[in-house]
Amino acid sequence: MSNPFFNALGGAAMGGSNPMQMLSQLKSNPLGLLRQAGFNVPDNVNNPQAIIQHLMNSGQISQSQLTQAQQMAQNFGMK
Amino acid sequence: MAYSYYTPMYQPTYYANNPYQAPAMPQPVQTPQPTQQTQQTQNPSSILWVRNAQEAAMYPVAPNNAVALWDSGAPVIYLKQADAAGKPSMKIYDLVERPETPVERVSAQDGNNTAYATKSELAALAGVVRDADGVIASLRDEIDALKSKTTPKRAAKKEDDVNE
Repeated sequence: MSNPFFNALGGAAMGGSNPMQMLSQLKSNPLGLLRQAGFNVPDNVNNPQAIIQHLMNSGQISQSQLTQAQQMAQNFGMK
Repeated sequence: MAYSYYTPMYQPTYYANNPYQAPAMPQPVQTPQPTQQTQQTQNPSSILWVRNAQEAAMYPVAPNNAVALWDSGAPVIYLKQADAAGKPSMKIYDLVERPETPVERVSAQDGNNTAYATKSELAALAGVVRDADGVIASLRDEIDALKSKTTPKRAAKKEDDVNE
């Protein structure tokens, strides 16, 4: 199953060009990067946790995809 | 920081949407394995760590899903669930390590058990102690009575000895 988070990072998890830069960009400006990747996030949602919850509630990402992304972030030392 | 006695390969099987479990795919011997599985086996850690219960409570959970979160500072697992409306709930479980040599449990109902006394045995023993107390008290009274009786006779005998 493909992960839209990984697709948003330009395949960074699969060995892209600069995964750390993309991950830091996701951390600093999640809304911009997610919209660039095609996610639908309303303007009034700017809290990262609220963004993720909105994406899950709207069915744009699944729990398993979020779990994968969280584990990837942990492995990269982002937490 | 992970505990040394955590087993990273532990995979709970009673969750509806288990993030740890690899996708179950029936495979006859002749057919080759699909390459799609290799994507999920590349992650070195399959455990989601949180610092405390507060962080676990803030973890996002999709409706009709459950997530197991491991506490990085204590042997605790937080099972966070969300119902169909997205309302979250969380259960907290304490992990207890099972020792290699199981501790022998002595049943109180075992007739051959000589390690512990029953309540009736203790009550009977208390009765014996009370009876002994009573006997000792009566003996003391008799001794005191004898002492008081013999004291004047001794004094008279001493006077006789002196006069002689």
